[in-house]
Amino acid sequence: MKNKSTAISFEDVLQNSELSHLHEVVHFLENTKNKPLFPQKYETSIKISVSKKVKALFVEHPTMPLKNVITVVVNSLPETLNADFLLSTTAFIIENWENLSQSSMVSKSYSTR
Amino acid sequence: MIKEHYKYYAAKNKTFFFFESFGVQGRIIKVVEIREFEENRWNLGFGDWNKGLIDDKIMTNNNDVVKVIGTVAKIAYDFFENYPNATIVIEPVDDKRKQLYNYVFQRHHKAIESTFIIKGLIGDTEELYSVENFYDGFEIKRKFEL
Repeated sequence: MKNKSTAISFEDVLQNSELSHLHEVVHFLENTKNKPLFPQKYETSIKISVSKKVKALFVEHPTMPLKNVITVVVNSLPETLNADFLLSTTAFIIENWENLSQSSMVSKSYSTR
Repeated sequence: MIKEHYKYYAAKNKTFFFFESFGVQGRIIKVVEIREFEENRWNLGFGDWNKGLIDDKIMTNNNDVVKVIGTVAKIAYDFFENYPNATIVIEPVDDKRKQLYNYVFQRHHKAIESTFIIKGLIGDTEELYSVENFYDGFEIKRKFEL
């Protein structure tokens, strides 16, 4: 990689009085590092990833009980998600799994006619 | 390779960054967060910071978009120095940014592809980046040339 880091560390910002106008930003970022700064983007990435995992699980184990599907997928999520997002993600997993099951049943019923 | 960029500031773990953009609207603080959402898969978020509020939907129009994008690219390089096995996922928050990011990749894909594998995302499917296509999002992963 040709581009070596030229970053100035947060510690150096805090020790430099000429950068005092930036101290507030450093404190803000240090204090909020446990939750996503861009929750919409972050949650979109998680939902896309969940959707792929549910599809892959359905291909490999189409008869897996729903409870196990939820357990497997939820266990793969990051630790720091908030309760509301966990709830909506669980609902999203169920909806995806049921849609896949229904479309599989429809295609089976057509193929047996 | 990156001709223009701002000086930027990085947290110790190299997942939070910020820099100052200077342009016709004055000084604007830009924040970049690269957060892991799945093992080795990281989401890149980018927006303006204003007195404790973060806004990733605002169009600043500070007339320095090339320098701002150059700085974000520089930050991504820096991140990969510390997380070489990572994949960065970029999901634009709105259509304007989707157009901008597609334009940036169309323009610079050859330079980016010298170091990274680029994938384009359409819905929940992905493919190797093709300049012909318009994507909902992008993934970049470092090539291992070491």
